[in-house]
Amino acid sequence: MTATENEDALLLRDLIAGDEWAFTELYRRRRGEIYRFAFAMTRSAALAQDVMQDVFLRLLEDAARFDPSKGTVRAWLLGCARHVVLDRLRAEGRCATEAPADDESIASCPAEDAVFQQQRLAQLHAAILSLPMEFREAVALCEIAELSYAECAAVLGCPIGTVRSRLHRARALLARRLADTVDGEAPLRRVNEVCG
Amino acid sequence: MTRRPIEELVIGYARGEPMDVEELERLRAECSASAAVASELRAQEELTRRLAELRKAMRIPEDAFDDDRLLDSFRAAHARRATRRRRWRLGVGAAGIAASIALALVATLDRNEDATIRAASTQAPAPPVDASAAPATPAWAVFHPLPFSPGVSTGTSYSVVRVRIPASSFPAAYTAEPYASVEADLLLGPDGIPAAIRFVDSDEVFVTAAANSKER
Repeated sequence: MTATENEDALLLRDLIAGDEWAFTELYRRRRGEIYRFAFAMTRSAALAQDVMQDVFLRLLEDAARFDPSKGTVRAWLLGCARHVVLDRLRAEGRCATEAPADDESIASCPAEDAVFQQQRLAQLHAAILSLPMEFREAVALCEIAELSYAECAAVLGCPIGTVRSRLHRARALLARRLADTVDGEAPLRRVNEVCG
Repeated sequence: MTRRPIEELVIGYARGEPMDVEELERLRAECSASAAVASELRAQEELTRRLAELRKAMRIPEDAFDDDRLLDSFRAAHARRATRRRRWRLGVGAAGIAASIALALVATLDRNEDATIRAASTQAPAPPVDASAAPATPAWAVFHPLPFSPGVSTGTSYSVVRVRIPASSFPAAYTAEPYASVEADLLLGPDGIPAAIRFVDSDEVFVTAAANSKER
């Protein structure tokens, strides 16, 4: 367990004891990841905010249920977020793969040259949302929330090998779907390192 | 050690995962030999770059968090937890008192009946609620002082509480009727602590239990 993870566990312990500062601190530390994960899964800023609030409200009731032997506080919180997201998507009938048309996702940038960039990110986000749910979860957790394979496995409740294979298949699908939109600017530096 | 498929190496490398020298050499060789692998690696690296951009672009709106509402919820949840803990402690306390009474009853039953009556008459010459107890009164209708209690004294006001105690509290009655109960009056002192007990009916179970105790 890293120092940050230890601190999270201590904050959770203090939170259970009623320490308001511990709650605020844990909230400030982890809200960003939860928001990003929810946003990556739904592409709706409003829904992501709701999910984030829901997770922390649930934390107030269920904090004592955290079991450190099953994973980190971060993975536990993202596991809660996953349940909330899936519940919301089910309620809205949005569990199937989709590519929503709305574009409220990416923070807007006024510069003209950034518009193209924004479009490309929106395409990528749409491609993520078009993946089957288990692949979408793997991408959102490993690539957006930056969880390790082990943490992701704890969140999803499946073996690490399954996470790895889901992520790899998801990435292969994403790369294929984005192939047409790649503008030719490839990151050749590292490739050249490898391929000579 | 199993050899990882080349597709896995390509994605692992593109994600910046640690690789050993042998795997790196293999990837380099495959990229040189196959344009498809090299192209896949480029695509995966591009994907990694875009995912990083997407991650960075997912900025949280300034007004996304209602800190005050969450803090209010935190305070309310903490207050609810404290109430639940208090109730739980009260419950445990009540259960403890009930268990003490049950133990006290068992201890009382184990005494010799005559000695019990004598003790009751010396320690509690005239408890207000039992002033009419006559020598002819059956044993179960007399107040028996409870062990470890401060005793009964005159000039103190007592209150009487009627309770129903499971027969299973009496080990001697277990075989007779485990689901029966015994009705009794508890003599509570001004501090609320039971000082004596009186059995109000001649419940068969209790009589059996008492008889068994006396035989022992």
